Amino acid sequence: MTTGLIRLLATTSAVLAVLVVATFLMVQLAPGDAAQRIGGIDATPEQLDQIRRDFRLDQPMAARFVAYVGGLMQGDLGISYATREPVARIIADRLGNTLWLAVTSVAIMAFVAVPLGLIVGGLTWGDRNRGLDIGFVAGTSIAASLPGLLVATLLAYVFAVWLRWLPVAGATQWTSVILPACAIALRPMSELARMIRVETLNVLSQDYVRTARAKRMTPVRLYTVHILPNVLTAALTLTGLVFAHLIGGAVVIENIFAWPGLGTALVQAVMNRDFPVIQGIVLMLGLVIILVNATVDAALIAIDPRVARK
Amino acid sequence: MKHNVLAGAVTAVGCILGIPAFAQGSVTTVLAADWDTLDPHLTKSTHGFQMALALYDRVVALDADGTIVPYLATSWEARPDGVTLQIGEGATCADGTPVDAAIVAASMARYADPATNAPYRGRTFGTGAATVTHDDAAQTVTIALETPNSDLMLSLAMPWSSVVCPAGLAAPEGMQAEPQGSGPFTLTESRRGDTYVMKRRDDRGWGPSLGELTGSPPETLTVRVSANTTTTANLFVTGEANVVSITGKDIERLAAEPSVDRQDITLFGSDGLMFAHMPGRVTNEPLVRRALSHAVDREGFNRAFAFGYGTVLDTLTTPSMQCYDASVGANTPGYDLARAEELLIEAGFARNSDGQWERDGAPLTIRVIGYGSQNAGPEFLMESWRQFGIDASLVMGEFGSWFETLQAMTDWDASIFPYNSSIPSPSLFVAQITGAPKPAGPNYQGEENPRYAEAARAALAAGPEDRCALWAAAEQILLDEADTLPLVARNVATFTRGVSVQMISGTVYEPNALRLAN
Repeated sequence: MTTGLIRLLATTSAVLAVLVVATFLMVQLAPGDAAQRIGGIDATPEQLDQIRRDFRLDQPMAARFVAYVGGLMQGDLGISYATREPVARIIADRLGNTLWLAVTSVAIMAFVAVPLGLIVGGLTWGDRNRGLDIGFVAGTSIAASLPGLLVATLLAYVFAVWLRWLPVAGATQWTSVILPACAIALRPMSELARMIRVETLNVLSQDYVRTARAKRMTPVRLYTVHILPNVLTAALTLTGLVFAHLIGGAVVIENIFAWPGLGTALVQAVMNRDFPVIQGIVLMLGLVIILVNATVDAALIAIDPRVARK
Repeated sequence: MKHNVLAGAVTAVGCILGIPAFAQGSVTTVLAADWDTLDPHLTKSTHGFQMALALYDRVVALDADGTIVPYLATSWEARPDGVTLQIGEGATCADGTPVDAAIVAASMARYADPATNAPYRGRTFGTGAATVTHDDAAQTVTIALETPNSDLMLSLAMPWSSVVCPAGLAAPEGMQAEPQGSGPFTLTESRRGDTYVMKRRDDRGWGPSLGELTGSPPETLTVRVSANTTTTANLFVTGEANVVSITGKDIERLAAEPSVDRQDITLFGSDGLMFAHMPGRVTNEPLVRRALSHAVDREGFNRAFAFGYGTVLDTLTTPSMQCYDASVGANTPGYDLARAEELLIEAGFARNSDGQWERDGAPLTIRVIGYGSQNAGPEFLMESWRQFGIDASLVMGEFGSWFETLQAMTDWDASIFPYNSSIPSPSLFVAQITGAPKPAGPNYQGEENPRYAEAARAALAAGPEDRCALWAAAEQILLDEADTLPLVARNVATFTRGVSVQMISGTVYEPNALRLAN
């Protein structure tokens, strides 16, 4: 297990190093005059020179890379071209909202998909309830194929504009997270529910389940003690991957619901060509994804040491 | 009965979930993007301007008719090369410091200092140096300009000329997020990218002379942020905002809402057809530019570019600006394919056997560049010219890449250019089409029209009586020589519910004039 964890640490460090270099080059290789972008349409040549000095744009690329890495070591992600704010502060202001949205999405996904998959698996095992089986597969297929943009628009229209049950945008109250989280969760929830159902069918076919049934074990005990733990290993893997996906995938949804997270900041930065902010957010999202994946891998190694040997 | 039960249930759920209701005496508006800085001298965005208007005072303001009216200055003596302002009594900064001539002068000096790097300094003080002095005894502030600027007073009424209090001047970096002004509101809650709550100052006994305003000023001004127009419209429909400015298709939806007031404001400056004037480009030739202009149906363009909500004008100056004169556009090329044909023949072109225009065996090739938020406008131009027999192509990108291609001055012939500004004066065009080409100078079209440049210099140096006539003469030169073709002036619709609003520009309102219906 120790070897597996060391290997995981080495892999994670290498990916992180590549991410740092890639995000640096992303800014440096962007076409056009960065000083002009910062100064805007009316900037004078003197103002442009000042901007070049302020943002170290007059220094060689190697010097800028050393300064960039040195800054990263101290938590300094640079200064926003558009607002002159430290990028770290922009991210700090918004990271909590994005993580809260992602965690809520995963919670909704897990609390709906796991019981749904278990129940449908139990009810359709042994070719029973064919209608339910077909309906479940069709419903989850449709839900999984709907674009997030469409889901978000429909949810906003139905639950905020028409029924007025929930806020339409922003993060002004605790209920604000519900609609964007549901919009993000719908697709992975459908996929997870289908996977749980298949896993449930597999487990129900095992000899030890048949033995448990023969011993007249109650359904509640059968599902909680024997089936759920076996299903959860696969669910945990997928949930970890989905969480990483949610962090990045929330960009579009955040904009539709005006959710003040990294997604809206990223879109605004792209519109402004505010490369330090783009660089910082991409780095932060990459870091979160790397850490989540590493945590899931470590958890799997701890649960099942055979994973490390593979 | 069933419906009543359903309605009751819906209401109950809404109440349990806590759908916001407006607090008594509050106004909620929406910004289309987050502000960049709360330092009024450094902000470059209309969103920053809107915040500055609520948090800072200016020496003068604009009333609903666009007339310059007293604010911190009770009177003034303006000249093309400067102004002397008489500062009134009674105003105080949010921290209690009285605002006097010394404070106004210190703020103006900081704004005028090139080291401040204020992006709109040139619009206020012109291209030369500015000297700011004050007289404590007389409570006057004098601004002397090295280069005359007839827009000085107008620009002093704009948010970028706001007066910063001493606490801000002592620690300017802090103003990025913590305003230091004497404005009608103070910032009490700030959640970046989401919501800003401002409270009206209890001690507010001064303000601009905006005429008779009915209703009561709001105690709270809440500003939400939503980049998505449909979401902004939804905020208004659900009652989460009561003042929104929007463009595009959502206008129809909000217009159908009950108990809604609507104001349509034309942006300052039209979107026009900019031609590359660089030597070697075919659009360097006036005959070709005029022919291309005649080949565009601007009514059709309006539908493609602005969903039909724009206004087709013959001038770059729009009716919402000072010095607007419709007669200036008398010679602006209209949609006339026969005339376009004559002009191309006069320029030495002829149609080949395929009906395509060519000269000396080379096809007439036009490369159009555009960006996403211009909707189908760039495609419309390309198709119009293709159908006329021109080898037209289009490169679309987002704004940043379009901007950089435009500045590169190498690989484009025509583009829709937003001749827009936050200041309602024709001077805004000067910065965009005179002087040396990019990157050395500010000229986006690549070569200066010396007649226009000379006329614009005269207008900038003119007194208030002559300036509009001189601006009209300058614009006449641009249009007569087909330097550009005014296409469409974009309109922004502002919807309000229970609030009266005075708009300064298409998307920016005067916070001092907000009034709640009693």
